[in-house]
Amino acid sequence: MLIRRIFQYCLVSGGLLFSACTTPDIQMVRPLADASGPSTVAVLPFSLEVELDAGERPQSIFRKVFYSYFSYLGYRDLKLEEVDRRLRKAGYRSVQAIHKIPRAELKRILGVDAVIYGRVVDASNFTAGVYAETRLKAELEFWELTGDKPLWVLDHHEIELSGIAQSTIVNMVQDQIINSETDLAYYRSAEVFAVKAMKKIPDPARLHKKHVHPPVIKSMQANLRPGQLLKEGDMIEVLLVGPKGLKASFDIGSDLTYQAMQEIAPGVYQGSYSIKKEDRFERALIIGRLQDHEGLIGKKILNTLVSKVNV
Amino acid sequence: MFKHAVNRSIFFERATRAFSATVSGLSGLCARSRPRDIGDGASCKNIVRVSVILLSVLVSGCTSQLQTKISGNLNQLSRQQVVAVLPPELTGDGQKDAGAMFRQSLYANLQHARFRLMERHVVDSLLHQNRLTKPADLKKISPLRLGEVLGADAVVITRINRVKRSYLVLHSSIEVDISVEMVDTRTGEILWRAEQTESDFQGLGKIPTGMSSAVWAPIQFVTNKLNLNRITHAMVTKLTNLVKRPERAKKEETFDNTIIAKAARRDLARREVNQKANPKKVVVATVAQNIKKAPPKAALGKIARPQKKTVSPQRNIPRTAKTTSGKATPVERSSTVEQLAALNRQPKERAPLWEAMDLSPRQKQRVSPRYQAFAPGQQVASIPRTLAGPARVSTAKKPVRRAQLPVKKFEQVRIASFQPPPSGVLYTLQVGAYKTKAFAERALKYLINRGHGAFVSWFKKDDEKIYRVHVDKYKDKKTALKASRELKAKENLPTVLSTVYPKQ
Repeated sequence: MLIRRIFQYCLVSGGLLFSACTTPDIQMVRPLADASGPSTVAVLPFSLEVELDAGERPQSIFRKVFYSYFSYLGYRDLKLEEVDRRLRKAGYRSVQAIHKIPRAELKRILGVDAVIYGRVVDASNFTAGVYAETRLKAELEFWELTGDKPLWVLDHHEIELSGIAQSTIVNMVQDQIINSETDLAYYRSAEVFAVKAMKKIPDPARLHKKHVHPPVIKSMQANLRPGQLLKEGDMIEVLLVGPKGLKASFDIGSDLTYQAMQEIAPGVYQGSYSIKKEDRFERALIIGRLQDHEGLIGKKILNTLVSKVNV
Repeated sequence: MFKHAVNRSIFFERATRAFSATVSGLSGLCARSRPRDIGDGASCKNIVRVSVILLSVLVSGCTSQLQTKISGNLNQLSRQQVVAVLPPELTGDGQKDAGAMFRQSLYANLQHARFRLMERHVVDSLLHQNRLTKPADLKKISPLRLGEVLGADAVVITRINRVKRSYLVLHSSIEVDISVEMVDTRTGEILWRAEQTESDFQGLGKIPTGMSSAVWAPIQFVTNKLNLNRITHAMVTKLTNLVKRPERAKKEETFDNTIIAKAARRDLARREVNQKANPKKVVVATVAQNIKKAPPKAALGKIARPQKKTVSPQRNIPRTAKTTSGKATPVERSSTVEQLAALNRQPKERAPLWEAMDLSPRQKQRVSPRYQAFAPGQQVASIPRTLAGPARVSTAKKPVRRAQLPVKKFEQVRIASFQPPPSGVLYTLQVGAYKTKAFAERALKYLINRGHGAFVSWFKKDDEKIYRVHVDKYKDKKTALKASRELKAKENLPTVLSTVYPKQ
């Protein structure tokens, strides 16, 4: 009797187990090479199309995990918090309303080249006795905001099973421990989903190697002598020469960072800092920084080690 | 094989819950399968034995050994700071997949840290463009240099020490050993250092559910890439816990002292040596502070002091700066006095910034000590003529010299003595007089290139302009005569003592 029951469970679970071992199905609507080369991408809030218990939020977990792995690809991604903030500022709060925004309007609100829509079609977490199961089924679409068709569409059904179908009892129990906490179970499923999806999603960095051109600081000067000892009240002035219209700043070691500089002439940036009593500089380097609109940073270090004399 | 480094309190709590669920399940099965009247005590004992074995194996099933420490300065990293995760160094064959998974997992986890991550494709592109394609060499390069190349405030250097897969028919295991270091590119300080070994196994030790499982499970375990990914991810989650929340670090997880990376130490030492190799002879000449209309923040190149001292320049400034030979060099004197005179005047433009930097020999030859300007209160360093030391030093290209210098302007500029004599007359050394303006300019240009404070004045004679080329101005005749002798000795230039009136 027992053997017959175990055999029945094995057949059912074996079928489920094999069905869970699937890879995401991605459909390229257009080849990536033909695309205009979207460089900035925003991952929109994901929708949930199944009713769950209060407190369960697999769509948020999945979005966060997916973004963490998607940011590894060759796109410049807008942070999730920034996406949410810009949408809220534009007056969009609900996910349904966000998914209905026209693409031109989305481009204006977010300022990106492409967006990813996500729909969690099915999500469940079940733990009972020796059996545990977490399901996550989602569809993702990558849309260029200037096009009328998505670049690719991906759908996948991830099932994490634990029970008689497990080959070992220890793994069975370990998985039950994880499954007993819902968020953790969804997190784990989302992670497996994301890892499999990244293998399928085309990576522009892999397709074409682009040269990156950070801003170059042509020259940098400061009103300091090598090894100069500074005192409270001394003014350090730094001058940078580089491309015009950028964001300039300088650091003194790691204690003073991103001290803003002003562009006093096209391509000439000037900044100053007055040494304070609480400053503690010891053999610190002065480092100039220029940042362009794409976020690329050019740096230069002055060959001057400065120290502050604490009187 | 059975190493214990897991968070035991949380694990045992979960194990207890699972244990109770399993025991109830197993006991349920036992109850259905066996009649109650046969050996209830024996069945209970078997259940207890199985549970005990299960619990012991649970504790030792998936093992992890982690050593991690952070620096207190890691707390200072904010969302403004950019951190670049470099490609991992691989130490053996078959580690490529593990390296890629590890880097991907590190990226995914560190997205939730306080700092901003530089995009992976940007890091790879910049390294490639700068021919830094071997991850093994990245640790040898100074972090300060890496910071300049990448534009990052810190770099994460990783190394896959070992990826071991073993298969022994009824048992298989995967072990991954990595080491990680995060280095601040502004100071060379090590912000985070960690070493971790993560392993998992499959086989008899995990109590297979059947004979086929006992054979099949080890094969599946060691060949399935997802298992390597799972182990890598579990490893990175534990590894980055402290970095994501550095404020939760315990005392034993924090460095006692600041540790500077080896490559950074060498770089900093080299910079210090370079600084010491370019000394400047400092002549005691505290410049007068009571310059009229001189705003405290007006001129660049000034180090503003909160207390100003009024010092008479006549008392403190030597008329002749003595060299080791005891002879006064006209360049030193003229340059020093010229600078002082320049300070006395209201600066129309900001004094150029300067900073002594490492110069190549070619750059050193190009630098002229002419443009040095010092602020009040700043000790004046007299730059001997022999040393082409940095008076105006920058990484910018030197501006192209104008071919022709206007004659009139130089009367205003070159004033050797900052204080006009009571009679209003200044003595000067005339080295030539020309009817042709171009000849006078040529002579002027030659003298200026030689570092003399030359200027041209003109007068009319018989309706014809005569251009006179002069060198320096002195307030008394004795000094002028002495300078004349020295000029003849050095430049082989005969001179005539003449007088000029300072421009009002």
